[in-house]
Amino acid sequence: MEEQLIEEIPTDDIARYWDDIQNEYSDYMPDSAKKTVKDMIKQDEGISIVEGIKGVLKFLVLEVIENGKLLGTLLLLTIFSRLLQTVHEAFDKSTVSKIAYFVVYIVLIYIVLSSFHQVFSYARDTVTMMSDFMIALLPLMLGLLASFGQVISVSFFHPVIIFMVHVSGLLISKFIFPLLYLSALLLIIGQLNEHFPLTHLADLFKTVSVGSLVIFLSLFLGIISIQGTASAVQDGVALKTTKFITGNFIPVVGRTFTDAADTVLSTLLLMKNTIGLVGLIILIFIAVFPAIKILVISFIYKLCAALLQPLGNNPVISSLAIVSKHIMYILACVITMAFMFVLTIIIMIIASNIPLLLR
Amino acid sequence: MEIFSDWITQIVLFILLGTVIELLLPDTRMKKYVNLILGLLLLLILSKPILYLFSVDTETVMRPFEQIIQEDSTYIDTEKEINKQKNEIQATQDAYIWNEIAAQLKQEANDHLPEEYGQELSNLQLKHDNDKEITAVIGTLSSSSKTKSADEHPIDQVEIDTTRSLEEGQGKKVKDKQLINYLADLWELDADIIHLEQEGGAN
Repeated sequence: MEEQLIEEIPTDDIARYWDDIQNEYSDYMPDSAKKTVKDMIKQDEGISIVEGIKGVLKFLVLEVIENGKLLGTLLLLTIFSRLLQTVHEAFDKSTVSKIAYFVVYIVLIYIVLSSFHQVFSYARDTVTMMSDFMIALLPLMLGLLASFGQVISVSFFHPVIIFMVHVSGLLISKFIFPLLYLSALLLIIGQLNEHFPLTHLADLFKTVSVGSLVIFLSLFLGIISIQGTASAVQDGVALKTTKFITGNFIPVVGRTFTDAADTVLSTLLLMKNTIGLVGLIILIFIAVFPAIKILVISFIYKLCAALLQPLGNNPVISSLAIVSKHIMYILACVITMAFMFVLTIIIMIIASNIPLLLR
Repeated sequence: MEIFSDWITQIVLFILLGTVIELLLPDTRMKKYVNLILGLLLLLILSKPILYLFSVDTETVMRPFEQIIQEDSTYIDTEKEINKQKNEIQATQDAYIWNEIAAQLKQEANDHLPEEYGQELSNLQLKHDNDKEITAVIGTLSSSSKTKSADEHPIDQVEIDTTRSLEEGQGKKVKDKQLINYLADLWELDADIIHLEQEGGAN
């Protein structure tokens, strides 16, 4: 019966995302993950965690090597600027050295901002992909939920999750990311001229963006976990009542009927849990590779700042540190979002198991 | 967000320009004051959103809302007007329909009455309630002029109901059960709601 059910379930929407990931990152995926969504639902070997970690590490190293060019550019540029400054200072103390320094700084800012922008678009794409995937997964999960009679859960989860997923996508890509971007920009520009520091304004932006993310996260998890459990309990009571009535008031066939229904229900429950888990795996794979990319870029900047600090504490180095910190914030946003969606799927799985525990 | 990033772009451009100006200026005593002025200008740009908040003209901001409210009320007015006109039209149509029904009932009755009772209905009024149920049929009988049955049939016996006849004016209540039952059968109505009265001086 399970085989038949799997064939019946439309997994095309999810499969599309899975295929995208496989196309893009096939070199780093564990071999056990290289199969279609249907196969993943059917087979219970799972994906080997060790292989997964190996793949991720491989990807990490390759990314570091790929970003080595960026590291080299940053290092050389900073060293040359420092050298230029020293040479000028040795001959005379005119403002010429300052102007040369200014020009170098502008070039650096250009490089920094372009890589920042790259990170920004990676993060935005990932966030959009995650929320799209959630929207694609929902009909499947909720359809299975509805099939074993959890009408109240479905009627709660459906609008709330769709609303929350959309809002989180919009909030992060249209509000939080731009604010972080502007905050970094202001800090870097503020370094340019010691007469016009803008650190407090930048801090304000950063606080607002991070604060709104935290508030949204707690709202999201609070609503979904509490309300989801409550509606699941209601469903459980309804299910129990129905089963009691059919078992006791329909003579002869009633008992058989409830037994048959029980079998179907537990099969469906298994199916739903498997699909939820597969969704979880896909979601993690969607998030993990861009997250590593962002992490590596942030790490490169951090490393640059650390290596160059002995040359003297000049604004270039501190702006490198600032960029690294802000890229970390963006990474934190992406991870928070992934975490939120993972928890949503988990809560959906668990909340829908509660009614069947109650029976 | 668009306005916001425009504002930030302004700040960034200003700082870049300010830095260039600072680099171009010779290192004199005046440089301090230039810096101060530039700083004040930056302050102005920074405080633009706050100044904007203070300069908001509540009238202009509120106008769209007021318009919406007004539109709403005019919408309600037109709705009322439409309802009123609809009711008027329905009332005239209802009146027309009732008249038609009365005319048809009268016609139906007059096809047979003169032959059987030597009388005819000269006037027929229908009363109805809101559910379009006929509550009363008030008819006026007069002796038929078309037939000669007036000679053959005895004059209908007329009972005078003193308690009711006051409001009916000079017309007399006709209590002829047979005639009323006949009409009730013909019209497929309750006999209770049919009231007939004899035309005054005709007899």
